[in-house]
Amino acid sequence: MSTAETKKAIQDFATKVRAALGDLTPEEIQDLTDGLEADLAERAAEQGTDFGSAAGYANELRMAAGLAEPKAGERNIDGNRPTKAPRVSLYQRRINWWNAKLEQNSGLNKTWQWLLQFRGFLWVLRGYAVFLMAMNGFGVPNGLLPQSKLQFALAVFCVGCSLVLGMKFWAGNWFLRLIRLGGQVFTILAVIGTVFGAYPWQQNAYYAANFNTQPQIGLYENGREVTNIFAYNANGERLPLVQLFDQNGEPISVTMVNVTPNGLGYVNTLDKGGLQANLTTAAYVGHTPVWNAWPLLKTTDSPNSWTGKLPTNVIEDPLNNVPVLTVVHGSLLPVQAGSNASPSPTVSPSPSMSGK
Amino acid sequence: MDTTQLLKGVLDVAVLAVIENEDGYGYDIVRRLRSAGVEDIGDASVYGTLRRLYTAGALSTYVVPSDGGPHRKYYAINATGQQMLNEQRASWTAFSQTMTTLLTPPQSKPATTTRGAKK
Repeated sequence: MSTAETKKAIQDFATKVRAALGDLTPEEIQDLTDGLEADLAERAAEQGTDFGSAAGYANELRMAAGLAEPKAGERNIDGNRPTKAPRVSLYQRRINWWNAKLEQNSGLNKTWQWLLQFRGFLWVLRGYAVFLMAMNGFGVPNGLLPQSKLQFALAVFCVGCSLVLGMKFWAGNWFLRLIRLGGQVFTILAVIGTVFGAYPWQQNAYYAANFNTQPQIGLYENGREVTNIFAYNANGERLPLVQLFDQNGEPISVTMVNVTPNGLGYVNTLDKGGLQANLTTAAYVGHTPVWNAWPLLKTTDSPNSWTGKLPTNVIEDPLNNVPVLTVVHGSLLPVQAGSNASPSPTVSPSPSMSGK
Repeated sequence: MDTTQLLKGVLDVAVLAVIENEDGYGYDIVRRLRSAGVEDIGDASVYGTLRRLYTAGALSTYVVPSDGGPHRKYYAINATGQQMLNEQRASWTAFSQTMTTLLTPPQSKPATTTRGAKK
């Protein structure tokens, strides 16, 4: 038998032995089988790889160690007679399988042993993460620290529950293990949710935030829709029919502009009685109507798509709603937090008229 | 006579005895026992006994890396183990003398010896 085959036979036998000890705790199995591969290798060198029954070997091991007898199986002392393996729960088998894999990988094993030293600290972190998740999930404004006695008590409760969850007595029976498993799953989801904001309500907020950052059609100021614009000069005198352009020389428009085939625009709105009306311009350059001339008039008819004529049925002149003469003081303008300086508009776009 | 049943009762002291003067690992201890004549003993029985003695505080352990192979777990007797060994050694000596006396074929009292042997 080659060295590789011998090594595989040893590994297979050791894995079966550990599986047969599956009703014991992982620590007991570790104690019982630590160094097993080395012993088997030496025995194989002298006597070959016929190790007999793994279940019988495991049974002999546990009996000699004074550990609990398996529920089913024969007793023997030489380990060579076939023995029925004790019943092992799926949960325990999974743990044993992972333990066996860990032991076969010395690097992983060392890392795991190193991590185990900090498990108490990790339990505390886990509890605190659940507390943060709860505060976040219930919409309570919260930093990283409790901000009231109630929150402090909740944090202590969560950390305490996490510590209890980590205690060994949970391995006692299947019901307790099931509770612990549920707690573990909940904790993992809570921690992931807290870290990555993966909760549905947070996702909604995320999408809503993204939606709100999409380019908006029209003109907004501080989130409020602007439907009409009134221009005054520096002396406070109202300027009728002013064309306005932005910093790029683009004409300023308002939201929901309907454009006729002639290039005339109008905005749907409501009159004082709640009936449909339009906001449109009454400005002409020669015989050509100019859309981008402010303020707009409120009319009941639309621009004529065929003739290009502007609506004539004016029901409300917006100029009646604003003062003829006004001066805006700096204190009335929005000021950036922390700034003491009065705002002083400095942008003076100089658009080039395109004949529109 | 089934010597394996006898071994069960004295395996602790046998294991303690073979590592009294020199630390050993699992299979090494099995080999020492067999060399000493305790041949009807399973490997796993010895390993389990080592673990039980360790749990009882009679042994200490340490791991020694093996060249190119899995590590070896060495067992060493400590003060508690030494005291245990001394006590069990004394008990065994007394017990074996009793049994030797008991089992020695009598020269003058065959009837008594027969009853004693049935005990």
